[in-house]
Amino acid sequence: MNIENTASQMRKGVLEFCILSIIRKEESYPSDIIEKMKAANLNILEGTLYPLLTRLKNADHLTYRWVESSSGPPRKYFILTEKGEAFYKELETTWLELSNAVKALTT
Amino acid sequence: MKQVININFQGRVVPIEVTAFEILNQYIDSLNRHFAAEPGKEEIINDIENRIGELFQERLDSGSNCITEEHVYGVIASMGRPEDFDSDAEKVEQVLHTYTDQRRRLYRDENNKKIGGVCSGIANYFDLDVTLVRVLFILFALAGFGILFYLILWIAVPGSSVAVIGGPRKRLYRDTDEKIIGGVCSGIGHYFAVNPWLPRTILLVLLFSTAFKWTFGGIFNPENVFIIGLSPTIILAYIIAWLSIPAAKTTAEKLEMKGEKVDFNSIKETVVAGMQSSRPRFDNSPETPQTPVQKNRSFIDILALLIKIVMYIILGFIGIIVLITLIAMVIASTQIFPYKGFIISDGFQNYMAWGSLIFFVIVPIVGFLVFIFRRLARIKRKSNVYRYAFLTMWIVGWFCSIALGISLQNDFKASSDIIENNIALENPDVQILNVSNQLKSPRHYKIRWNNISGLALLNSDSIMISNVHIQIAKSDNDSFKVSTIKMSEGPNRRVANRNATAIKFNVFQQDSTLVIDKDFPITKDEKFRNQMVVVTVYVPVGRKIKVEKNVSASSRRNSNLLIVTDNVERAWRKGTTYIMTEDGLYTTDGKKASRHNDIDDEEDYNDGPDLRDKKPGKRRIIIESEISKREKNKNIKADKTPDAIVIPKVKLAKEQEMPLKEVSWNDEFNLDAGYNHISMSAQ
Repeated sequence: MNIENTASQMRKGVLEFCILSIIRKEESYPSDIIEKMKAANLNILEGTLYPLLTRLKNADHLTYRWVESSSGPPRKYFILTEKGEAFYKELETTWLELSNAVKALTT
Repeated sequence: MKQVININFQGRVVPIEVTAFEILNQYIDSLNRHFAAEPGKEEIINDIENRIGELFQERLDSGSNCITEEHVYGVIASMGRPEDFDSDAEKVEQVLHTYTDQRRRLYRDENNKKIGGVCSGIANYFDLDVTLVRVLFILFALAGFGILFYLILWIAVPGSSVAVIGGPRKRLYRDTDEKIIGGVCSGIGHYFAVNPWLPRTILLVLLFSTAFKWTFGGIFNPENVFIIGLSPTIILAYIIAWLSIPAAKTTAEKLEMKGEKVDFNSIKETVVAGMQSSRPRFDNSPETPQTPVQKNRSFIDILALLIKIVMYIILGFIGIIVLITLIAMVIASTQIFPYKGFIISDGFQNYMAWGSLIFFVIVPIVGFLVFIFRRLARIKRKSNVYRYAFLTMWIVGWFCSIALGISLQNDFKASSDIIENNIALENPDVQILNVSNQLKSPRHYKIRWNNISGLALLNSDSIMISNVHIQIAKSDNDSFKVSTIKMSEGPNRRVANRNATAIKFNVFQQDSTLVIDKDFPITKDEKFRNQMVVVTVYVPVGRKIKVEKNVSASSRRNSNLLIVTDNVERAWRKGTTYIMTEDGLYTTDGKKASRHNDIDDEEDYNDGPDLRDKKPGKRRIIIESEISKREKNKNIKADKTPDAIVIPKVKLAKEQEMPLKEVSWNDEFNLDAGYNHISMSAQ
């Protein structure tokens, strides 16, 4: 149990960063994001993603637009705002610092 | 074959199975609840529903014509359930085994427990091996105080789950969901995290412990077990607990009762679990939202189960015995029914008698049968109405019986005066008097099923009682004399006298035979109130007497009644001819009348100090202890000597003679019911 604990704590830490990275590369819709994360071996549940996206949107880091789709309901495509871009930069810095520190300590 | 409905889901029409729809509904409800506090919740839910809609669309497009349960499960699995969503509000994880990390504090280890985890906690605290600590405890228990010690520790030392701040607190509640009577034992079980049947068993054992004391001492009397044997202390303790321990009503209280964390998640789980008890669960993921079941079936559970079975058997056994007793009482009362009018007076007593029969005897029988029937037919008890109704009626029955008993006892309270008839016999030249019953007795009509001896109906209005005693005494003059003494009891002196006077008992002489009635009738008016007739035959010295064997009158001393007459013969046999001498009755071949009456007692019974040694008119005082010693040996009720007054436990060194006041027959006596000491003066 302890390891799951810690592992999930670690994941939580980097989630936002990863999601913002994906959206930064290209505007995506939620299930797309999940696919990409799965491809990168970082599984996330939809129920986790949606609230996160909404929070980011409410914090003005993200914005979206509706795109009609031929198959199925219209989709939300998310894109980074300026504020989101700045936020992303900060996250990136933090991440680099952290990963360097860990690397230094574990070798 | 399942019913399919069409729903409007996110603006599209989706055909879906009814059961699948319900599952979907629940899921969305759970999402709603999960995100209730979240800002932007509608949007989130909308997005999720959207996603679900997409997934449904994929399924439909790939060939299914409706959404099935499996589809819904699959969708939910991929979306995840609310409990799994990582959220900003991090869960406080239960930190198990914290006591190894924190500074050393004494906790109970509830994950390593056999009974309460006390020994594990102690072992951990002192760095000892668990088994060693357990063995030590068992030794303490055998020494006596160990069990109490363990219980105190169990209550006082906190469980390991309390180590976390904000962790679950355990509080003692009554569990009204899982109650047998009041939920006291269930609540106690939850608090100690044991199977509730363990405290129940202990309770029952203590409850019946006094019962077993009674039955081991004497005969196993089922009424004793049922009434007296239930320990009142235990009942009182249970009632106090019932009143003082609160019942767990709200979900938060119920969680506290079980010692679980009270937070949004657990409350939601409890509520959902309650609602979904009959629905299938989505359990594809490892964590299932169930209230935690006892993970390790400790050996106490198995033991409790065994004890439960044994207790059920014992209770069933007792129940059967009680049932049989009650049925026997019913049968007995039908037997006595024809004679009912002779004992029970109309009006109050009658009602009480019927009331007793119905409420005290029949109602429990019916209640038992109904209870057994319902158990066998597995009819769930919808309400407690039956229980309370039967209980109330039975209590009414108790009142009736007690009232009847008191009322009846009242009727026997006072005794009558002695009504005596003296008959001087004609023809004093008779040498030998034969005493016999009437050779031909009037036709008596008997109820066929009764074989109670001594009670036969003369006609439908009166009953024959053969409560007749016969005595022989020495006549103080030259002629035979017969006296009949009639006695009775009643609610007061006047009624008692009336009852006594109403006794019709005939004695007449036929040449040299004295014929006495075998029995006497009493009517429903007088009722049976311990009516009694004593016939005393006075035989002059030098004459003979023989009491025929057909005389049914009892010649044995009635232990309740003591007629103190000078010179009453204490021991003579029917069917033997005796001659009266100065010294008392002797058989014709010179042997002193001995004590064999109709008893099977073969031994010669020595009367002890011969009371006829003294001159008549004087009395002697004999120390009771001597008599009782003798009586005890023969297992006969303490027979009081006829012409002496027995003083209990007076320490008299030797027999003394004390002249006592001569009393005459007409004085008023205070006669206590049951102990009639009547002294007759010798004229």
